[in-house]
Amino acid sequence: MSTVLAGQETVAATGSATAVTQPGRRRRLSRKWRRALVAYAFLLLPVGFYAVFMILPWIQTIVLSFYNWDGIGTKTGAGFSNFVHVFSDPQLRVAVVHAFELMLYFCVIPIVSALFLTALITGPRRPHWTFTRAVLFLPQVLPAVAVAVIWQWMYGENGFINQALRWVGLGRVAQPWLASFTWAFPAVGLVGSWITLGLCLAFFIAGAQRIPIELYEAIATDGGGRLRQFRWVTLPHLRGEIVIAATVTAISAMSAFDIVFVMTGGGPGVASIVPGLLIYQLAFTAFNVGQASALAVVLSLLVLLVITVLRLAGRERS
Amino acid sequence: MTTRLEWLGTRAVMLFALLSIVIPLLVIATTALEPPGSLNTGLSWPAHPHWGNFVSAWSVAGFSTLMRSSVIVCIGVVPVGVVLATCAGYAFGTIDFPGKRVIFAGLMIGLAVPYEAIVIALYYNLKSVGLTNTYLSVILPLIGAFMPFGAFWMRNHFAHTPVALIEAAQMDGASDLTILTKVLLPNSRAALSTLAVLYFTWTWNQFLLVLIMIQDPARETAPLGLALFVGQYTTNLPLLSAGTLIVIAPVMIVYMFFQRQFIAGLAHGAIKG
Amino acid sequence: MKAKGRSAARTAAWLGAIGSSVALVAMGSVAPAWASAHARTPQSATAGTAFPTGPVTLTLATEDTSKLTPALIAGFEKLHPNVKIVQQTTSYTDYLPKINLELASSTPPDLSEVVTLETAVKDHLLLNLDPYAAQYGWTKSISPYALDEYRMGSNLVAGNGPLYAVSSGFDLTGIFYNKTLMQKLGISGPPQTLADLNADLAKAKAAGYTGLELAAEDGHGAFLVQQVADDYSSPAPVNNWIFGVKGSNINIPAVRTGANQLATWAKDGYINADASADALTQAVSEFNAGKALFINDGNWDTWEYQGGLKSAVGFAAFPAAQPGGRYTAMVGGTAGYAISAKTKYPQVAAAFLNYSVSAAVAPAVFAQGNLPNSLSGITAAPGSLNAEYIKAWGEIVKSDGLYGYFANAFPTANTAWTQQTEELIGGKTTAQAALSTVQAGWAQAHG
Repeated sequence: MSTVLAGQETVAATGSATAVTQPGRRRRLSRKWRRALVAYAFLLLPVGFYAVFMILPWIQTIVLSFYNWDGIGTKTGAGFSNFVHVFSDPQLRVAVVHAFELMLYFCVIPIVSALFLTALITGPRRPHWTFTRAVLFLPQVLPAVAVAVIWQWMYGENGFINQALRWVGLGRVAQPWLASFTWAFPAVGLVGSWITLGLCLAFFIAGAQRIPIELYEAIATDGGGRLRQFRWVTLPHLRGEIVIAATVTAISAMSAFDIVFVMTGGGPGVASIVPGLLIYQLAFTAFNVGQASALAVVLSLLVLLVITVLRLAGRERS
Repeated sequence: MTTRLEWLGTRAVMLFALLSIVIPLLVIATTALEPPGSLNTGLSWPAHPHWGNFVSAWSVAGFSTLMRSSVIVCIGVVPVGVVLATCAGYAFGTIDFPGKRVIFAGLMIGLAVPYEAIVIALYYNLKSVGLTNTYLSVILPLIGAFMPFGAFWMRNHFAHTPVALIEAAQMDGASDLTILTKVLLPNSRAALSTLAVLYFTWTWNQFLLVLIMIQDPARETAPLGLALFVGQYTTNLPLLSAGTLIVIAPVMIVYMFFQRQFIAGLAHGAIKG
Repeated sequence: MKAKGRSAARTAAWLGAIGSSVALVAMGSVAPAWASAHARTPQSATAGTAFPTGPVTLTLATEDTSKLTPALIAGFEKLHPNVKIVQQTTSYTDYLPKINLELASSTPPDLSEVVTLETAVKDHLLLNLDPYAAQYGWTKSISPYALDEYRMGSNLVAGNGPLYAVSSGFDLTGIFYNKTLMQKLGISGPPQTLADLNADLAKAKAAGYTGLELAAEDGHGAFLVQQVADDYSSPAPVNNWIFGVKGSNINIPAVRTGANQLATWAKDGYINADASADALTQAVSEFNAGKALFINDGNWDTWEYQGGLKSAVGFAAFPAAQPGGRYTAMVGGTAGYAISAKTKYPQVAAAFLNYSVSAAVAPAVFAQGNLPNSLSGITAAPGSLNAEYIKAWGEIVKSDGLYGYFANAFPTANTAWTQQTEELIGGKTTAQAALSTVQAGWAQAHG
């Protein structure tokens, strides 16, 4: 989540302060270590849980990616063959490409829409829009499985989407969307947009409310309209929030599982297959634990890569 | 003139955005009231609402069992998770110690790792100690998985407490535990309740981990039960819709009461750090 | 509905290469090839075993959601009051991935339904049942063909080697039709040939109905491909491929004909437009709602159709390729159970298996719409689905037309078939390309 970005600078700052050497070092050191022991005691269980149930299995997954294993019998060394497979198997490649395409739906569309809404409802005047914000945020807290079930029927042959199209006289484009090679993937992706829009909007409204009103007034004095206010005040001030929103939504895009699993199962064909689903299938249906792990490792690296790029982009401009 | 138009335009756009969120929920709510066995009909108000669908869905999908499992898992995760996050937050937020930066950064990586990359080895680890197919196989990993956010959240909270408050207590010879429980926590109700509410929602909504760990239908949680219910009873859409609403209901209710905390926790929390 | 009905991979392949003996046995009789007067009663069969008298609890893992398995358990517990069998039912989607891992765990279920044998046999997780087969005389009371599906050698090829499971009966596939709709469209009876079928489908389409309701998302596209392919191929090449016999290939003219037929039906609009997003349950409900003329399914969904269309539902063998041609079906064991290699009570588990295949349970099996191992003494009400199953069964056996399921050929076969048939329906691939992709998956699994 976003906190990766935001968190570390603060720690870096406090951390370096303690490193300064000062007179009376010996006594301070012992006190410092006493405090350290207290800190370690407080961290023992939290970090222990995290290490045993997150870091350890993650490292083990990396190790498993270098073996051939059916999950039951003996492991045999596989070298890099599982990774070669990830990049040569067309199905696995399609999944990785889809992970990036999902970022269009999980990040780009919601961020652009949320920025548009933010531009409309913030600025020099500050109504709270509490109700609207609360409703738009709602999909973020609903179980993804339930969201997927709801949208599965929305997209159905006689579902609401087709019903609405018929109402406005577009009945001829009505179709079972999730059965279409062309539309199944965008349909699933748009559910991602539906989920993340409210979160992006909440980020941006929170950020926009901290912008000094005088900045808007200055532009207004110069004869600038809403567009210029947005371009020269709102947008630059929201840079940090945009990077955070992009990071949070990018992670959820690349590790999407629940909605694809329930809505299409990756179909039709492999039209909506994503890495998360393939990892599950490879590990628990095909019993190809090595390949599943290799794909999981590649996915982790891609997520870290995307986050790093976003972070650099955010830093460079500010 | 233009402002009037602007105002109208803004309202129209916001209304459209609202409808796009509300309509899918309305569709499912009206479908849940259709006569049992109806096919997908989009949005239409049923002539004779069948409230009995909720009762049938509850018994057919075995929601008593599913809800019990979900509640047990939440009870296992939320209190322990919040207490441990508080401990971690106290250490990170109020004490300077060697390795702080590295340990904290290591925790934060956990926010970025896709959970798919964890569950494979996690499954085999828990299987080797005979824990799969138990509530613990969901509870323990979730406590670990939520720790990065929890530690981050509580650290931010404690880091913003006035240092003087802590120093004064230390002068009085108070132990760290006393400072935490007597000085800091009384001022932390908002932060703690937000964290608890978020933990509850994430636990309730968890799917992948339960899908992999739990085989026994008696220990499946509500979202998993819903997914499997859909596979087995698509014949009866109103029943399924009712089931979906039942699964959504607890988080909806919690959200209605705590929506400010939700938004503060997820949106503001991330920025403040 | 049985959850396992959602997928073609629901049971292991039932029959091996059918020898000429089937035709011999079947001649003049509609009884199953292995119907035998030698079915033992459980009492006589258990005699001579060291059967424990103290309380015994066995766990049984299954994905059978019908009333059959509970009925078997209840019957057995009545015979042996000291035995308790705890049934753990998991949905098919969950069962398939987990069962081998469960069997490999420190607390495996004593009895488990077989879906695929390979992993379990490779890692020695199941008990070799040959001694019990000899003791209880299963090799005499059950047709060798019914047992072949559950045999697997150390080369991991099915059809030969030690026996690992037995089943209380079997399922078969065919065409369910809507009698009311048929009458409305002026169709006199179920299609006898593919040409009849195509003519009926055209009539349905002209009247605005779906011809063939298809749940391609659940892998039933492979059902249609195989039904047509089976009409054009003798059982040996298909069943060898399913069993994993070295050198087999699915990319043969008969199967390409089936794949092309599926693509043509989709192109002609004879199949529901949402096939690739349709789960079996959904397809069944749309068929029951009178939207479609036919659905290609198996008798495991008997309750669904009887409950939905009541007396308006009919069943027939899938049409033959040409007049006087062969009738074929996919036939598989209904919930075949195996015994864990680690069980503490192998003799009790084996006694349960023996009870489940005995003539004593035949009525209970038949009542579920499944065909029991022995049809002797079984009667079905005229015009009922059960009567039509027996009629179709006779035609199929006479034609030497019993085949396993494509989707059981290797662990990920169902996924491969689902993807490839969806691509065929969407016009995204050719029969040739689809089948070579499936074959590549087979080759990876069977080497």
